[in-house]
Amino acid sequence: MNPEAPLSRAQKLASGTGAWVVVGVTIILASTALEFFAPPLRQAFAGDITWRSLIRTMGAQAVLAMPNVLLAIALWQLKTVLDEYERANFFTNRASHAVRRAGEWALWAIGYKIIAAQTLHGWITQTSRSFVINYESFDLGLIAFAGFVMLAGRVLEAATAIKQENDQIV
Amino acid sequence: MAPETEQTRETIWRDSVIRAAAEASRLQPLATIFLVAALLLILGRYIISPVADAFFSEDNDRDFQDLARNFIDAGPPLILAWGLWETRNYLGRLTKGEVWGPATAQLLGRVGDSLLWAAAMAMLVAPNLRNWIEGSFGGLDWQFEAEYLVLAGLGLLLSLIARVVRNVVEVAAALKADSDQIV
Repeated sequence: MNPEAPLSRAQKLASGTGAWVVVGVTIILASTALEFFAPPLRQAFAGDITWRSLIRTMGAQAVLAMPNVLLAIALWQLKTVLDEYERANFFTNRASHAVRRAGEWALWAIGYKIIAAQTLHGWITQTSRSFVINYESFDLGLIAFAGFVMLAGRVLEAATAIKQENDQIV
Repeated sequence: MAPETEQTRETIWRDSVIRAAAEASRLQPLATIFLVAALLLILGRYIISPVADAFFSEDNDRDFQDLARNFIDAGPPLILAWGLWETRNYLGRLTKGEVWGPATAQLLGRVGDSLLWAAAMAMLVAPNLRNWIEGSFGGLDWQFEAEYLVLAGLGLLLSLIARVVRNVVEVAAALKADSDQIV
């Protein structure tokens, strides 16, 4: 069996996928802007709400939109990994750190969404003064897999250290 | 090769395996908790509650449609639960120190596949099946959400890492075979 085959397949898979990541990040940011910020802006331009109330609404909406922004950052880390893999740089610090950071950002996003988003929104809009925990089965899965990717990133970091050590010896 | 550099490499290798095993032994019970919690949530939200609604409600037509819709919605979380099961197995192997085994790389690939399937099911399959149940057959529908896109991204990442790990395993096996031949 050719030992390079899985690497060349990984390289092929990585090449071109980076563009899809950019599309994904753009979709997340555009849909977030449309969902959270477009309605109050439309109301303000139509003169239905005052600019002062617009700022307050936008602030409250920004709290709810934050998990999507954090998820977009997590996805963006993926682009760094794909760029490195496309150049056949599988064991570099840049790629391994980006794998770990993708997991970390996704964890921050879901943690924030479950614990902080609704709670802070309730405090800002004065609709609730207590902690609101809001989660779905999908979120639990995402937490587990983000933690798993973080662990894989750490293993890759260790492998990168070994490879660098090996390269120095050779 | 100098014996001290060989020893340094051995130490880094052993340390990385020990560190991964320690982290995995901490994460494995957590993965089990997540798996049980996710299964209970899926069972309660998508199966028990809709079945109870369908059988104890007067308006049967609407409730059987709701029941079918709930079963479809249960698809992506169920695939994720399968991924959690594979994750648990993978962490179990890491705990035993099998960081770079061929079976470990395969499991990693299967976790990646499950994430990609769950994301595809949530974004493309479930919305269209829901539309068909509701009687609308026009066009292809999709539901892009940040969570699904990130899930697909993480799945892709794991599939790529699995390929890299497989390469490491195969290269290591080839090197070992060469070295055994020389000896």
